[in-house]
Amino acid sequence: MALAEAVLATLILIATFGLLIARQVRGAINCYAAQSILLGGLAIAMFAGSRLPHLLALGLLTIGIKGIAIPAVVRFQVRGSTYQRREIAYYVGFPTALLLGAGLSLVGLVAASRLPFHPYLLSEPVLGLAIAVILLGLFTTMARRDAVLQLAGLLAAENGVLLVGLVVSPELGLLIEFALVLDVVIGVAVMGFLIARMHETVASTDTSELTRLRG
Amino acid sequence: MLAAAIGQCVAVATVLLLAPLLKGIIDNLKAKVQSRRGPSPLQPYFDLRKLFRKERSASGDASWVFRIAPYVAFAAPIAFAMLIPVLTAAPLSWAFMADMVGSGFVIGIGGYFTNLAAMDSASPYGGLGASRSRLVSSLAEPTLILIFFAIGFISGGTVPFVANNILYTTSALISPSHALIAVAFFMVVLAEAGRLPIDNPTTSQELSMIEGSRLFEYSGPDQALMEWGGWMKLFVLLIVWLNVLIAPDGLATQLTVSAFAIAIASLAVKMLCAALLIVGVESALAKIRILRVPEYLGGTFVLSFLAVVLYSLGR
Amino acid sequence: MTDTILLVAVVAFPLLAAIVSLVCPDRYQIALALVFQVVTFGLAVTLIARVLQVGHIDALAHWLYLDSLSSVVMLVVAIVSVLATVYSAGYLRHELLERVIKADELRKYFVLFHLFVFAMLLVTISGNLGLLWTAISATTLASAPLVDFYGSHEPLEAAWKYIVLTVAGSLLALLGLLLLYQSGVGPLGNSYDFSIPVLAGAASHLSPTLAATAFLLVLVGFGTKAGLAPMHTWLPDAHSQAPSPICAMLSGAELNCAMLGIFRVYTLTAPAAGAATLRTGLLVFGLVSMIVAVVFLISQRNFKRLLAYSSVEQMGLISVGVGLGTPLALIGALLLMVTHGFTKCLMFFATGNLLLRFRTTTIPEIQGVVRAMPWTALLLVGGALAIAGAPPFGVFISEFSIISGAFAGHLWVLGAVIAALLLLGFIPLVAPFHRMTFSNAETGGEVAQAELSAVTLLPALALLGAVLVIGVWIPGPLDQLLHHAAAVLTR
Repeated sequence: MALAEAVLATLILIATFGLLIARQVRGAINCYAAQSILLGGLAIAMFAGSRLPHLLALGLLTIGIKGIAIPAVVRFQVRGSTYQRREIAYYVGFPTALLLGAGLSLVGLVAASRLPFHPYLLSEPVLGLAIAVILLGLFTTMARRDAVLQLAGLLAAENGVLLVGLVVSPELGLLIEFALVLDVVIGVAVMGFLIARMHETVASTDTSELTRLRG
Repeated sequence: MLAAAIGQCVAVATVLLLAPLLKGIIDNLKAKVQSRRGPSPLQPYFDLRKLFRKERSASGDASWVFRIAPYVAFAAPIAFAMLIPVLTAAPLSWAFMADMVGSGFVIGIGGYFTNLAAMDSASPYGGLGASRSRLVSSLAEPTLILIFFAIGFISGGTVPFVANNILYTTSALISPSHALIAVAFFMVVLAEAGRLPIDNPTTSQELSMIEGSRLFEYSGPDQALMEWGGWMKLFVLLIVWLNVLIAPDGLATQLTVSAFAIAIASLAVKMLCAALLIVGVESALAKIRILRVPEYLGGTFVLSFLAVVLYSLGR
Repeated sequence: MTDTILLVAVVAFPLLAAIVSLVCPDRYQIALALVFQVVTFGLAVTLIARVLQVGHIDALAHWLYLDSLSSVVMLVVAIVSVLATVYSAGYLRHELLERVIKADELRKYFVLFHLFVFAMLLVTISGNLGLLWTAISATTLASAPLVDFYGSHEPLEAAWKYIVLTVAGSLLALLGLLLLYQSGVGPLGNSYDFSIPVLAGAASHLSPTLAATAFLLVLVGFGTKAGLAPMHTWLPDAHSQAPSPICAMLSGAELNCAMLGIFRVYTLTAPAAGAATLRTGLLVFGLVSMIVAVVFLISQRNFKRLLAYSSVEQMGLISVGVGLGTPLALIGALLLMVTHGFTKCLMFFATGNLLLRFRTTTIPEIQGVVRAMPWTALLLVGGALAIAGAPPFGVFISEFSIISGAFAGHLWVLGAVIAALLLLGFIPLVAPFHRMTFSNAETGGEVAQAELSAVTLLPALALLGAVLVIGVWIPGPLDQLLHHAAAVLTR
């Protein structure tokens, strides 16, 4: 259904903005969980429209792993209520971050409209939203000081790439989609491990502390 | 002609009578979410009756502004209700008094007089509330203007009835930019009507109030009118959100009793859904710091900006 | 049939090694690693010989694919891996003796080591582009905990920067690959096999804008992993904080794998998008990398970071070589991938010995190596000359070939600029090693004349020999392989 897909794609973009704007680690993780669940929902809506079975599998996998399991794992790794609720700083400051985020979304939307595109199951504006999500995720990784948020930005960008995959080639096959999920799982494991080590060695996950290597 | 006028009156009466019920339902559901029994949904009507029977009193420093403000604050949403599609899909007698931008002014005049009255009474809380409320309203302006422009782009006109019809009949309804506008507008409605996460309507801490402290000095019938005006403001803003942006179904296309009955019923259902959404949002989110309000409204601006861009790119 | 078995075996063995390492007792870890790696090396050499015979191997319905271009990379990966295993044996034994690491950390090291080798070999044999991307990502994920092996503040910082930047790059590259898929939808239909042979078949009919955008995204994305500036900022940190054998593999093998990704997409998109445009992209990034590297080379106080910036420079030069496009330049670039791999590996082995003996990576603090560790001194000086591009070593031949390629294509200014940059980088690379080796040669005897075991020296000596040989005479099969690979790049 075109309506459901348009609305879900928009909500995915809003969830990514929420990730950029989130003030607490807890909020950021919840935004990522919401984004993943919406993405899974979108895949399931596409399945309802087109009856391609692997879309259903993808949707359920996304909701299960990225929407529920991984946020749970990350929350577990940052447990301790002070850490979860502490406000996190930006490298650039909030208004700048918001403006740059809006600017990047604009760039994504314009770039997508310039690319020649065969609409398959989803319409063209969704490609623009997807690229905007990728850019916003990468920007979050660059703009935030906290390690968990950098991780969350990468995960959000990964969701954006998955969304591009859904727009461009729903039949590209389980391979890329499973590869992404596998990558996410292992990536989160590795990064989570590094974050835990950061807690031990540096006693914080503020990456502005990690600046000893220079030149 | 007469039928149209009667229809208009019915619409206004619906807004007048159902607004307290909306407040009652929201309070009741919120309490249930918090595992309490909560007040009855009809409680606001009892409150109004109580207040009308009480004596009014005013501070010695108050001027004529203080005395007329309740009437203006009560009349503004009513005038606004005549301009928007409450029950009918076609414009009624008074609908062309103002378009969307004009109706923004109409509802703004109520807030303007409330602010003046708050400052008039020389209570410090009033001044505080007035300045904060100004902050929220002025920051919500850019978003509202962009939303009006976006609706104007899509539908080719700025009168809500025209926009309504076009949005309903064309596939412009099914697009991401439309969804973005709807989300942005809902966030602005929460801000303008003084709901969480901007302002807690049930708080008793005066220093944290935005809207509530402006009503402090009023008593008796004046207070009843001010409060009723506040409830109607939320009600009509939600009507705009529901009937113009989200789901203009069930609006009456003919001026018959049955069509109006269906319209009222569908409005009730839609309002109930909106009430559930508001209860969900209010129960899940905490009030954000006043410093963060510009960030919140900045976010809504970004969303509406993206909606406009997305729409124009799709041309 | 045998080809398929060989292809599967060459990645199955390292994977099996990783699994066995998980449960193997600590005493046998090193021996186990050596056995498996030697077998893998043998399989790789057999495969490369096969490719020389038949041109390319295609197995499992295009999921696995090995041609001369990927064979070049496989050659480097296999040799570097097996020699790094040998060196690890000596290095880790020494670290255990000095109680810097504990015996149970061997397991973690080797499991990740084998997974790293598995991932790199998988990159070289990938036929499906999705598999290629996954394998390149896997090399990051397997090597990041290895960078963090010593566990203190700086390695952690290095590992974090490494992972964040390369994963971000990988995501951009994946976006590029998806756009590449989209560009093939026109000629190939909505659902087709996303593999190299299939796309190569339709290469001239791809949608031009999409193909060009796809290449650009892949260049930036995989270029982050290959160490091209300005996305290289993780490289000096990661390649200097990891244990020396791992640094050797990171610099010598992993960067080449990322380059392979870029070159693959280049061959697939060049016919449609216009090779000239794409080559300009390669040239720009390559030149910027070289300039940035030379600037940072000049004031380095840490010899491992010095070597890391040298890697950035060489990767930039490889990119420039392919960007020039003339046959000489292409052969030079491919030969540079091999010789740089060997030489960088050798240098990291030699400096690893320095680190073990002197416990510091700061250049001014090390003096008189020629007295303390004569063989290592030989390796250091020889290797430094080799890496800086002095004749008669192999790196010189490759660089000379690239510059000649520039002149042959009438790109005089460009060739001159490349030569100038290489010359600028010569002294900053050689002088520190010279100083460390020969300064205070008399008083250097304070540090007892004690080389570490032969195991830490033999791999490096072998590599030095190989680089010297290649500089003088390129062996026939290698020459043939390089020419075939260059042909793939010009198609």
